[in-house]
This record gives sequence, structure tokens and C-alpha cells, in this order.
Amino acid sequence: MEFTYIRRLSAFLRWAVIFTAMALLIMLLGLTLYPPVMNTVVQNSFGDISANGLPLTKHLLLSTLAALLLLPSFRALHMLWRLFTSYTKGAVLSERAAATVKSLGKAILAMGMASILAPTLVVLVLTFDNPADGKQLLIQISASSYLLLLFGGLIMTIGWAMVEAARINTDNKAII
Amino acid sequence: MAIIVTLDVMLAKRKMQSRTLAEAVGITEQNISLLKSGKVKGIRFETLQKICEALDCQPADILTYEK
Repeated sequence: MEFTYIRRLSAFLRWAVIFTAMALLIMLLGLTLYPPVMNTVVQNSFGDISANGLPLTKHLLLSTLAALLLLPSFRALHMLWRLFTSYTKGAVLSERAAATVKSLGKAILAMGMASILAPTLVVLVLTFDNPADGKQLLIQISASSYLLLLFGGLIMTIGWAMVEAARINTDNKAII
Repeated sequence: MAIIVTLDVMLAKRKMQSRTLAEAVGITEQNISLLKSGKVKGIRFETLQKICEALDCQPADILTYEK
């Protein structure tokens, strides 16, 4: 059987992806459905800005924002699940798997952008109804955001290389 | 312009079955069938050599060029 090691590892990693997606979903539901969880998270990250607690409007806005900002992460997990499913079936050098690697790279790039936008948008939501001199704008690029962007670019490039590899593999199969 | 595979002619001349040739060359009967119908992009020198050995012929006996 071809690619035995990759198939076995992928079967395990597929479950790890499912577990991660469930954990992320539970975290999102916790933030959305339990205001004290959202309060704690916001106060730990932006202490003095949100010292007065969160009114319902802001809670709803932040919940929507959290869901939107986590969309790229869910997309990346979906792509990972699809990739590992292909690998488990032995379709390692297939064009579908290569396209999935490319999509995964794009999703990771989007995750990087979301992690840059997140603090800016959260602070905007927290302070949009403050008096004119109390509004704040936060622009923050952390090392992890930069690494996510770099990693996304790398995975996308590998995806392009995989597309070529899959094409060569298809050509080789047509040579007897 | 095309390369025509005349393997079926050579098989008939040698009175050999596709299955026998496939076993001698070490490829599947399906691949022999694809080769006979010309539905392949190429043939490895290694495969060509084994076919020539099995059929006791030259490459030109199974491959021809047509304008």
C-alpha cells in the first residue's frame, strides 16, 4: 500500500482537527451565550477600556465580531480536515489535495489578517459611544500575526508546488 | 503526424496473447491494452526493451511514424 505512514498519520490528525474545531465552537458559544465569559476575556485584554462591563448592544456586536474573525480559522480547519481525508484515502499527489493545500494557505493568510484587525475592531466597538475625547483606535501587529501571514504565504507556495507535482504525477501515470 | 503503435500486429505475428506479453513484461494487461490502442502519452525505454525481448523484435516493429 502506497503512502502508509502518511495515511496513518492523517487518520490521527483528522480526529485532532475535529477536536480542535469542536473546542473552537464551544469557545465561541461560551463567548456569545455567557456574557460573564466575554466580560472576563475583554477585561483581561483591554482592562481599563471596558471597566464598566459590557452592555447588551456591545456584547452582541462583540459576539458577531468574534464569529466573523473566527471564520478564517474554521475555514482553515475545514481545509485541514479535507486534506487529511484525501491523504487517508491515499490521494496524496492528487490535484484535489493540492488545491486544498492552496486554499489552506489562503485561510491561514486570512487568519493572520483577522488577528491584526481583531484588536482594532474590538477597541472600536468598546469605545464607539464614548465622548469625543474618549474614543480610541488601536493598531497592533504582533509577532504571531506576522508569523501567521508568513506561514500562510509558505503554505500557499507549497500548494502551487503541489499542483505542479500532481500534474507531473498524472503525466507519469500515462507513461507505461 | 503521429506515432502509431503496431503492437497488435506484432502480437498476431508471434501468435502471442496480451496476457502472456503482460506477464513477460511485468505490467498489467490493462496497460498492454492501453498501449495497443495508443491511449498512452509515452512508453519507458525499460518497458520497450522488455516488449522487444518478449516479442524478439525491434522498436521499429511496434512503433511507426506517420505523416
